[in-house]
Amino acid sequence: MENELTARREREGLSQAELAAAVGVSRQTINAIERERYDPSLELAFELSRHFDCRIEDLFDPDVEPVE
Amino acid sequence: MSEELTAKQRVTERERYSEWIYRAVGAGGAGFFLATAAWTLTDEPLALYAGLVVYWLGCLGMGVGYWRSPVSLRDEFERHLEREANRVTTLFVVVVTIVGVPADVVLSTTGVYTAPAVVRGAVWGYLLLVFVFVAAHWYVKRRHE
Repeated sequence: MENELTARREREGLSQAELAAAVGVSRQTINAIERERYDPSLELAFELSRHFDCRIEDLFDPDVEPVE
Repeated sequence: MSEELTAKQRVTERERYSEWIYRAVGAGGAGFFLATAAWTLTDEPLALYAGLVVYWLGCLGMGVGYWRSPVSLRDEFERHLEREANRVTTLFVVVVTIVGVPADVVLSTTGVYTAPAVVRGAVWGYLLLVFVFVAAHWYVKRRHE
């Protein structure tokens, strides 16, 4: 899933390890999300959006058609 | 993820209990290895028994670590990788079973070819594993209904 994680993390001057520690996961998890190899759980997506003080859809773009 | 712990506490607890588990497994494995080495030197079966006890204690320590940990010791991405690996393993086992069991029945019954016992044992063991999977799937599905 496309996401803004790298941009927002770098804007805050955080390393992947620091962000991982801040949201309670491993550095590999953050790396996999940033490389769009892994879609986080809802729980982690909420945790990340809380950390960056934004909405989930500001961080992640599922690129799917909205349900009519 | 636990609600009572902060994200940083989760990481700290995960590291603390993981370290405990690694040490328990390491001590158990090293104890068994040393006991085996001692047995080869002394030919004393008691050394082997002692090694086995140390190994089991290491396993017990690992179990206690998993049981006592307030957080999951693998984070969600690691669990995702585990699920993927499980999926690949299951696919392999199912394919070998689907191809292998009927082939073994037909070939051995007709006398055309009888596979070595180790191969037949593996194929039929895989069939048993498929049954275990089906039973586990049924159980897990029931828990989610």
